[in-house]
Amino acid sequence: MDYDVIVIGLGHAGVEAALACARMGCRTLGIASSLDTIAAMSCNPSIGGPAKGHLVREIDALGGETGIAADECCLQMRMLNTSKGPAVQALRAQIDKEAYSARMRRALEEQPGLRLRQALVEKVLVRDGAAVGVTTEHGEISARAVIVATGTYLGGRVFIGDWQAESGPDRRPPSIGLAQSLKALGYSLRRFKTGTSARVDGRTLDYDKMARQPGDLKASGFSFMSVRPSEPQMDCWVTYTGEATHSIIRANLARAPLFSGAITGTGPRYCPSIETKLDRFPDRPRHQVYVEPQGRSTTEMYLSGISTSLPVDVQEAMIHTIPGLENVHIIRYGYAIEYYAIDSTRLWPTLESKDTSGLYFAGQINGTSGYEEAAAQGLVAGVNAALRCGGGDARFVLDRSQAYIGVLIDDLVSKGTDEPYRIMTARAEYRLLLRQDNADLRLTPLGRAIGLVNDERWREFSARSRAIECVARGEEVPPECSRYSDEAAEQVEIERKFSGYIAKQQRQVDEFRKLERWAIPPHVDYSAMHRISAEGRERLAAALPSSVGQASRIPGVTPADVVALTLHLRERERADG
Amino acid sequence: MGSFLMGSEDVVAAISTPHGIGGIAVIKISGAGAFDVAARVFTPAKDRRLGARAWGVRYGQIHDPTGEFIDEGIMLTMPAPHSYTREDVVELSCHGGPAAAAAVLSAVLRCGARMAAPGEFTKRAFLNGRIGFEQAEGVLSMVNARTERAREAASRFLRGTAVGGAVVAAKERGMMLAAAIEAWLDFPEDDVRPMDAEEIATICSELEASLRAASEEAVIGRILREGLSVAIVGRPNVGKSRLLNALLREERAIVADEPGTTRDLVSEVANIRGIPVRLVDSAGMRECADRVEALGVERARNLLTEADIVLAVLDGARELCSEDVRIIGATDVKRSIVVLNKSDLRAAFSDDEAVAVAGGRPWLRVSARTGAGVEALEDAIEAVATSGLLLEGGDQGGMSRRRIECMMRAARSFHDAEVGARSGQPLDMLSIDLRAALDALGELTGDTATEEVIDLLFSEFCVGK
Repeated sequence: MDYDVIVIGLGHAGVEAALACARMGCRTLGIASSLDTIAAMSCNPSIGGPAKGHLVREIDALGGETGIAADECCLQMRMLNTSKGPAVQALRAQIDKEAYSARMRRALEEQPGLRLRQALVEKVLVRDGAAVGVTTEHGEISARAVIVATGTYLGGRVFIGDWQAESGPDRRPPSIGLAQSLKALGYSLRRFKTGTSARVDGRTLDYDKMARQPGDLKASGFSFMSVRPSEPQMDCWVTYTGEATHSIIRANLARAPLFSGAITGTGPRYCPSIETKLDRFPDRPRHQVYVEPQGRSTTEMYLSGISTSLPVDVQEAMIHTIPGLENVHIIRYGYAIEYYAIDSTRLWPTLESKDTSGLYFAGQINGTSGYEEAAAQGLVAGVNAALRCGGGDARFVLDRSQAYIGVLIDDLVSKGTDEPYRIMTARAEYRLLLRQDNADLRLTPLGRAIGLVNDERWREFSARSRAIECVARGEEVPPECSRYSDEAAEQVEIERKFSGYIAKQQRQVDEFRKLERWAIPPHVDYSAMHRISAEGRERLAAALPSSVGQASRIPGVTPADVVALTLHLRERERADG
Repeated sequence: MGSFLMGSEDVVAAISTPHGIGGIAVIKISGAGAFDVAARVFTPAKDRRLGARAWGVRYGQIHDPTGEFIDEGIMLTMPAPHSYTREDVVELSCHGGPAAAAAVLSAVLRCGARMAAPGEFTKRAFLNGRIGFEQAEGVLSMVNARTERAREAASRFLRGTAVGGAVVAAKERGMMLAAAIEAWLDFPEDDVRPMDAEEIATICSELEASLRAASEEAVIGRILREGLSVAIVGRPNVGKSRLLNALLREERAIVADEPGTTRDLVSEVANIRGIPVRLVDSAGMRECADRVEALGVERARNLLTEADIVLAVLDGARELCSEDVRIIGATDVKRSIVVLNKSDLRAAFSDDEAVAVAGGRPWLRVSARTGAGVEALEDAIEAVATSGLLLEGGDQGGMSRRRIECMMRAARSFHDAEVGARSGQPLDMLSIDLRAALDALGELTGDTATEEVIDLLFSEFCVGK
């Protein structure tokens, strides 16, 4: 066996997956078609925001890399929603793309037990229903587990006007053979679509016509490891489209691949192209445009809010109507990209395939979008692949009451998604408990238990939690923990101030957990459960839920089906004595 | 989903004695917090200290949360796990009669308990390991049978009644508010209109008021007045309206010998052996071309599924026809009585034939015109009513009480949200109460609030960079 785990793709999911595997002691190989674009930010140069920032804090609390890298490479840091309550407060960082990529590559290179290879994976090798390695253009590599994290590269096709090409983001090579291999293994692949905006030369902007948006004066970072966000901060700029912009777009809608029928993939509702925004909200007189820096060593800037795949002449014309952008020089045109995603309900909550043991999927291939969603899945897939290689039955699954990571993965594997999925705080039933300020208290002990949290992080965590305990008890914080006094006071204040609401949520969680902990044994025969409706049996047999709680969230399974299921399970328990 | 399996930690209550008869009614309260609820509606005559965690019986006064006297009664406390449900259980016994029992139940519900779903005590007993599989299977069949009926009944309720209309309107408005708040929370850097606390408070208080008004209307209109619903069905001109009048002892329905006179449902409340009984007469059940009457016929069919008890009326003086057989066949054996009317005329079939026609249902001969046999019919209605089958199988009254309980729960949560907004609580806190309100309304309309709010968020607000 060449390796324990092979990770295909080194984007945001692949990086966390590879690091988790290696940190848990697996001999790991990370393969990417280009090692010069590790953890590339192909869309917005930013990380975080509500729910997404929560994910980053959780990844950090578990010992992942994204939070620290974002802090070190940030251009601007803002805490959003500060007036709207502790549950929805979240950090959002503008990131130096190039620095971030280099930072992640260094993390991979410095990680013992982790090797990198530049190659294009053509095939996943499966023997007796289990993944046993991959084939690249240079030959076979064997492994005990394989993690597929191909992002938008799998079957990638980009569109600008009536021009299109088989391509990954930014004209990097797509992964075509692997898509065929997955199809041959029986995976049904769906077309999803996402888009990106034009990037422009910052020297050609008229800053006087735009509103300056600076970062926070006293910026904190994502990581609980007290990493200071990189200084000095850079500004973002806000401007708006107007009637002139809109009439140019409207006159050319027929030339937009989204409307001409060229694009068949499903796009995300939360990240619509500017042409879609005009189509769906025709009465809005203007749309916001954020002009965001992409790095300290480049003048290239990102036009956030007007992603588009209109023809280049239309992009030129409409962008030049926007105040501040009248004379802007476009460096890269916006484009739409279509790619393949699998049906995420075919995965266990460990992100291992129900159909091929030892084969894990993480990131955009599971139907999500966003760097943070990808990184979170990468970490979970990596941990579970490593646990599998270690032998034994241990699994790493977080539930909806423990973490946004749990909400994300449960949504994917229980409900599935028919559009690119984005995490939101509105998706978390217990968001008052899943705050960004307590992510370490919720998760770092779990990360320690699985071996991802190193001694240094554990020391810091112990000091911080000690400080919180002291403040909560009204005791003096000992000097060795005093660096956390302020944070501890803040934490205790939130718990105290909102104790009534927190208790309400805690009661809901206690109820939720009752069903969540009622495990359904593997290999139950749903066809013999005659009390469940025929449709319910079919859905359950396809979904193979791990708990009664998960069963109750599968679309098409009725409350009566769930009651019937519990009766059958009780009957079985009694029969088994 | 939440309602059926998840709600096993909250306090639930229901009248646990058969409806409306006997000297004593028992209101059962179960769940952690049952003792607290009871303490707000019961004041012991002696030893005012409550909450001793032991089995106990106390005599005292039952009152509403404001202290208004309702009845004298007995309180029995059974701390967990030494109770049927293995939870804290309180049983309040008051004087029999539906009005007192309903008043006590209503007071209990106002103090934080929610109406138990049909079979919920048994369900809790099962989930808590108190009872075994065989007993629990009964619960399941009930839930299964209920699903379809409840769905139909819910959609009729929402479409067809003023109260239902108020629920739908409140839900739509509440969802819009929630979507606006969620858009602002999840997309803070988008061009979304900020939400003002005053505006939220105003909307919540209006929603609370409309739901309270609607549930009061529903309480007055259905619960306190309604006991049992008894439907009178049968082919045209078998004497249904006359039978209704005989039970009411007054002239209400239009009576004529022309078939099909009663085109609409006639509903009246009669007092039968102390049970308030809502008698519903229907248009003759017959395939018919007359469209006005066809509407009535359609409603009569619905009646068969909604009513607690069905009186299937035949013309005892005429040969049985296939329509009669079909009508009887459409009724539930356990919840119907076959009435051979016109016993003042020459009987067209023998007792043996009648037994065969009734197919296991109780049957009797009546003359609605002379009143002969009407008392025996009242006996039969009472017998079915007290057999306990209704509470298990088809308590439509329970359905509507449950609806009211959902509306009250939603109203309370809107109230909490309003109070929160006025006292400067941040939006993420308010959203907890708002979501609880929408979940309660969603139980009525059968939707899951979270997904709907997210859909609304994207369709109504232009968000996403």
